[in-house]
Amino acid sequence: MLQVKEGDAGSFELLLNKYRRPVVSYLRRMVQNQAVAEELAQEAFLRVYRARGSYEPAAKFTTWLFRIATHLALNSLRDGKHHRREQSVDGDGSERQPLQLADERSNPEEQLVAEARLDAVRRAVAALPEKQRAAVLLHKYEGMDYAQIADALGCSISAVKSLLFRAYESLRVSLGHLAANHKKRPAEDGNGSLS
Amino acid sequence: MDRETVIEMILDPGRRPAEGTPEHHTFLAYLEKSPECRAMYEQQQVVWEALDLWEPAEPAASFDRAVYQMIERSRTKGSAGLWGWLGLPGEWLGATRPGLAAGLATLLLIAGAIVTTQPRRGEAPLAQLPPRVETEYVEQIDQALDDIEMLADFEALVLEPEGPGRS
Repeated sequence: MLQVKEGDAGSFELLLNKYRRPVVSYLRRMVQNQAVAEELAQEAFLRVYRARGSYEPAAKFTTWLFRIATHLALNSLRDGKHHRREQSVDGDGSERQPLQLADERSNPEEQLVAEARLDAVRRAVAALPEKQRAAVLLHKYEGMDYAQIADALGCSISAVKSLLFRAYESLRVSLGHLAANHKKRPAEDGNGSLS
Repeated sequence: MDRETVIEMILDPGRRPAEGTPEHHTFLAYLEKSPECRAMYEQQQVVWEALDLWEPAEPAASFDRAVYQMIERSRTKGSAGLWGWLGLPGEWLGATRPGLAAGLATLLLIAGAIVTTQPRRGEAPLAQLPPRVETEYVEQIDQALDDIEMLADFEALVLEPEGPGRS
């Protein structure tokens, strides 16, 4: 980012290459709409470019970028832009991309079950209040720690702990029915499955 | 190890001690003796696995081009001069808060209408002018005409040749 600040166009391209996918993914999970997510991500990168002159490496670049993205997503959700374009969860299916299963041999029935599970996950995440949703997505998918999430959301670390506690509590309830075949013992799982 | 720490470790695998360490054994032992924490741990594992199903999104192939086009448009607008700068807040509001932008635009229109229909300071509206103003104006014209007539008479008197009766 410091090279971008010095006017190095190639470095901006590198930033774009590195963060394009995580930012779009984060925003899509936030607004549950691919088209709106891409527009917001483009706006986020435009803001990064515009603000490059005033960038100070006080915070990690990733945190700064996701702070911008979160701000845009929350504004978009509050303005209801994503609802005007399309109803993503129940809508025209643009959000429902074919599930890319790791196991290509899985039969249609398994595909359907997997899609139903994914749909349940989307609905459960969409049902979370916006800030809880953002906290979960940053924690689970971006691997941010509490301090980074606090920075991205503009709140305290204790507020983040509270947001995550409540969000995961809701998710344990709403996704509990997916536990049918899941009875792992703690010792089998090691440090957990956070990717 | 207290309950709060265990709950934090359940909710954040990154905070869990490494496998094989005494702290990790303590964590596992705590889960064994606390059915509530154990249930929470198992349910949380279900949540992690469910969330793992949601794969990242692939941006469209035209994503970068759109970003560079936005940057280019932004540059062009940035060099549009004073009007460009003046328009930026409105543009930003329009993009981020269209409702607020529409409200502000309406307020500006109403304010503009009020300002243009209001009389200037110290100037009374025509409808409110008292009738005596018009009368005073007519009187002034009469007075001026009288003065002109009087001057004309005076001039004629001065230029008139002296008659026989005068000495």
